[in-house]
Formats: sequence, C-alpha cells, structure tokens
Amino acid sequence: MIELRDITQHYGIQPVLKRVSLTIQAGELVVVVGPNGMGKSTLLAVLGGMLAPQHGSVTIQGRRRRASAEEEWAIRRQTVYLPDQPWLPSLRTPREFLLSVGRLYGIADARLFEHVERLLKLFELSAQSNQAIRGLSAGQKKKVALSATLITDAPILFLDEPFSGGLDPSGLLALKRLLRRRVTEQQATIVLTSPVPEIVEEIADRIVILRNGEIAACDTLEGLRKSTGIGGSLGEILEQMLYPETTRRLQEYFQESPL
Amino acid sequence: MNRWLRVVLPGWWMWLIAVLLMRGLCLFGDWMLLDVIGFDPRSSLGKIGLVCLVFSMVAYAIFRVLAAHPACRANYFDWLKNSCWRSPLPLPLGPIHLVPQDLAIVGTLVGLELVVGHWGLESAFSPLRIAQGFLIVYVLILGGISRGLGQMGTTYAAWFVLGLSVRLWELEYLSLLVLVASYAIALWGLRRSLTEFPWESNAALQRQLEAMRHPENRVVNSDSLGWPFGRFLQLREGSITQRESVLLGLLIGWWFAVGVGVVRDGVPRDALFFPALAAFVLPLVRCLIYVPGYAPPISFFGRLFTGRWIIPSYDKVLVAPLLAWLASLLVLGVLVFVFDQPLRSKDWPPLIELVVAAPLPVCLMILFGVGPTLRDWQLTGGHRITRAVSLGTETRIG
Repeated sequence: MIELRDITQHYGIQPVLKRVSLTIQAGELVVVVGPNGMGKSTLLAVLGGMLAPQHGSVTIQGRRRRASAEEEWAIRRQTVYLPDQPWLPSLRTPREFLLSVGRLYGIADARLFEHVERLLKLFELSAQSNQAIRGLSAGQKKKVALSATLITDAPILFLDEPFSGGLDPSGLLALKRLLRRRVTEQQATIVLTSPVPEIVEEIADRIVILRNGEIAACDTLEGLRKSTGIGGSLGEILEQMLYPETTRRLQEYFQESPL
Repeated sequence: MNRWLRVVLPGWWMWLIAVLLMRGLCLFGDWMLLDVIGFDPRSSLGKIGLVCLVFSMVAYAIFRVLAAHPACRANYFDWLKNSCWRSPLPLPLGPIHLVPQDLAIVGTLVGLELVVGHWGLESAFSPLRIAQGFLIVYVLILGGISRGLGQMGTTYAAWFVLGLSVRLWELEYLSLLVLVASYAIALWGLRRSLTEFPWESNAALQRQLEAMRHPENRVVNSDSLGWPFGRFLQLREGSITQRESVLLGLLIGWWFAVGVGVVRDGVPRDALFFPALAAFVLPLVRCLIYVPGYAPPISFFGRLFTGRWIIPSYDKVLVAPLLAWLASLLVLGVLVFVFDQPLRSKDWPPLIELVVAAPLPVCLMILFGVGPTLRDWQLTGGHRITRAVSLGTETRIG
C-alpha cells in the first residue's frame, strides 16, 4: 500500500502541491490526470523519491520514504520511477542497458536474458538491440526507457507520461496490455500520468484529478460519473471539471467564425 | 635455485611487461632529454638506472602482496575456500609474508644499485635505501588490504611506525630497525586477518570479489545507466567510521609532519601554507563529493521569500565543511599566536613540525567524522535528486 499524507511541495514561492493526501492499494493502477502545470509530474517525483516534500510524508509498504537509510534503500529496491524526460546512456546498446538495469535490481541472469529478449521483441527493438542508443529514433528510445522500467520486475511502478514521447500505435497497445497484466496477474501497483482520456479510461482502476495542486476528485470512472452527474466519457467529465473555459472559448471561436 | 625462487618470483609474462615498461621509460627519457631538451642522456645513465631500480622495487613490492593474497584474487579465493586450507597452514600459491627468497631478489636490486654506483655514475641513494623503499611500499599495500579485512588497529599502528621510520631517514640503521618493527606489526595484522578467512561477514570484500568474478557486472559510475535508472541504486560509497576518522586524520597529519621534518625548507612558518591550503580546499572537496546531483529542495529565492533561510534536512550537508574550515582557521590562528618565535626560527626547534601539521588532522577528523555519512546523505537527505553532470554520454528522451 502507498500512502501520501499532507504532501506540500514548492520549488520557489509558488506551491505546486498543497496538502495532498492519497492512499493507493496494492495491485491498483491509478492514473493521475489534470491540466499542465498542476503538479502531476511533481506528485510522481515525490512518490518516486526524487523530491523530498516540504511537508508531509510518503509511506510505501509500511516504510516511510527517507526516514532512515535502511527503509529508503528497501523502498528503492521495490520501486522504479520513470520521469517524463529520462536520460539514457547514449553509447550503450539497448541490450546492454537493459541487462545493466536488471542486474542493478538483482534479477537473476537466467530470468534477465530471457526477459530482455521478450521485451526487445515486444517493442520491436530486436533489430536495433545491438546498436548504440544514440542512433535510435525518439519513439525507440522511449521504448528502451519503458523496457528498462519493466525489466526491473519491481512491484511498484511510478511512470510519468509513459504513453507520450513518440510511441507508435503498436507500442501503445503493447504497453497498455502489459501494464494491465502486471496489475491483474502480478498484483503490481502502478501510478502513472497521462493526458489522453481514452487511454486512461481503458486502463485505470482509479483516476486522480489534480487541479491547482489539490486533488479535485479521486474515484473509479463509474464513481466519477456518479459524483459529477456526467454520464459520458472521461473526456467529457474532464471537460466539465477542468476545462469549462476551453469549451467556452471554443464556442466563442466558432460563433465569431465567418463560416 | 629456480624452484627455490619460484615461490615468490613473478611469472614470465610479468617480467616481460616490466622489461618493456622499463625499456619504454628509458626510450622516453632519452627522447625527452636528447630531442626535446637537447641534453645527452649518457651523462646521466646513473639516474636513469636508478629510476628503473626504484620502479622495479615498487612493482615487486606491490606484486608480492597482491599476487599472494587470497583477498586480491577471486579465483584463488574461491579455490582456497573450497580446499582444506585454514590459517596457519602455508598458503598454496606462496607466502604473503616476506621470506629469504625476497631477500635474494631485493639483494639483487641492491647489487645492481651498487654496480651503478661503482661505475661512478650519478646515484642519489645508498643501496640500503632500495631495501627500505621496498619495505615501505610493501607495508603500505599490506596494511591497506588488512584494513579492508577489518584489522584497523594493526594497520594504523604499522602506518604510524612507518612514518617514524621515514622521520628517522637520516639515521640509516635506526630507520631500518623501526621499519622492521612496522613490518612486524603489519605481519601481525596479516596473521590475524588470515585466521578469519573466508571473511564471510565482510560485505565490501564480498562485493569486490564478485566484481572480480564478473567484471561485466560492474557498474562503473552512476552516470553509466543514465538518469534516473542509475541514480537510485548506484550509491557512491565511501563512508568511514568515526573511530577511523580520528585515526586517519591523525595519520595524515603525522605523515605531513614527517614530510615537513624531512624536507625542512625555509622556516617552519612557511610550511603552514600547506595546512592552510588544505583547510580551504578539503571542505570544498567534500562538498563536491556530496552535493552534485542533490539540489536544495527549494531555490535560493524561494528560501528568501518564504523565510525558510535554513533547511536543516538539506543544510546539514554543509555543517562538516564549515566546521572544518572554521576549526582549521582557529587552530592556525592559535598556533601562529602561541608559537610565533619557534615558527620563525631557522633552526627548526625540536618537534616544531608537529605544531605545523596540527591544523591538518583537525580539519580531516571533522571532514571524515562529522555526519551525515555519504550513504545516509544520498538516502535520507532532504534534497531534490537531479541528473548529475555527464560528458555528453547520455541522450535525453522527450
């Protein structure tokens, strides 16, 4: 279980997260959505251990983040965090990189070699597996980064915008299925952000809507429909909850249009 | 004779490498002197010969410890662990301690030095110095390994006595006698460490051996896996215990005092420049080890405007450097004030070098001993983990 209690985070004078509290059960896939600059990536970074919040605490499987070296080390062995803009070693090949990350997480060689092959095949990287990463396209690099998070076999994944960054339809499909399967069959806990409502609808157990650094809603899609009284898609719910101004501006735009 | 010597003799390929290296060194020396400086090297053959001898002596001392110690060779360690060998049985691949065969080899080196001297070519040292040099390097290396195996007391005792033997360099035979005492202490540490073979509880050694067994698994540095994959689990290690920080600070201070005492250049006050420089540079070095990649949780202006001028969970990293800097300056000031006359004396009053070196151990003890340890800082500091600087070997996504 993951528990955030009263998280407040600011980099300068503007608070990005304001007393955010949230509980995520084991084996749950939670998607954080919200407009740009509302604190989605910051929330993921706090969960992932990149940031030490100014106020509040993060507890993962009963261990508090950064409370002691032993607890933090145990958490790091159990979690993997993928930021929206990771950096990869440009001179290494995807295969070398994945093997190194797997070894870092203590995955046994027999499992590791076999899993690397499967991931490379799944993300259509087999042909490029022995080329330097710097020669790959943006989408292929994203696939390598995603594979690196999956090779760890970590039971808790924090993924910031995993579906962005040039993934092709086949990559999107593979990732969606893979994440869902991790959750249903291996009881993995996944927290991710995505700006695409259709994807969120498809994979999320629960949806967290962030607005102005606070949780505006946190429920299943069905629960959100009930609580908002909007029976449509997640896109429509978000439109009403988060972007009423955009809808208004669109109406104004079309009214003023000579066509 | 060959069988007798084989107990300690390096393999033929090591001889080949040594000869090639020395030949290369000589050729480089010739080229530098003759072509670059325009000086005929034949007039200083003695010096070149001496360089070769010193090189051989250092290489042999290092070889003697590393080649025979099971903690330095993973294959040997594994084999020995599965054999019936236990201390104090003789080690199958030869002894780590010095044996008469070593005397023969070092004696040959000393003989070579005598020949060089006999030719009337320039020679800086007496032949006995070659033997002393060998023993110094040997005790240093052996001590380093024994320290890694948990023999802290004997290692530091040997190293302190080693400093004393260098301090007594002028008194050739007394210096050698003290050096032998230093060797005896190191040997005691070695014997004690061997009784604890295979050092199961020594996690650092087991990690090193594992890295030797599978060099392909070794992750070179935290940048090698990009960001953030490497940053979380590739911690920079290097913490030492508080007890050792005191010992290490005192040892380095002692060695510095020895160096000052041997050189004795100018007046003692001149030598204060080095502890002063160290007091300025070493705290910065600690900051450079701790801070890159671990940014403050809020920006400088954020601190100013929110009134949180001090963030204890982050600013604790600056405590040790500041304390070291202030304490060193304080000690320096007191020394200059209290020992003003002796520090200006050209006669170098007895033990004045200890006064000169005093700020150094103070600075080092604080830097090594005051927390947080590097591991604690990386795991529990109130910082924002950022990508460390890399030299264009990483590619960004997104």
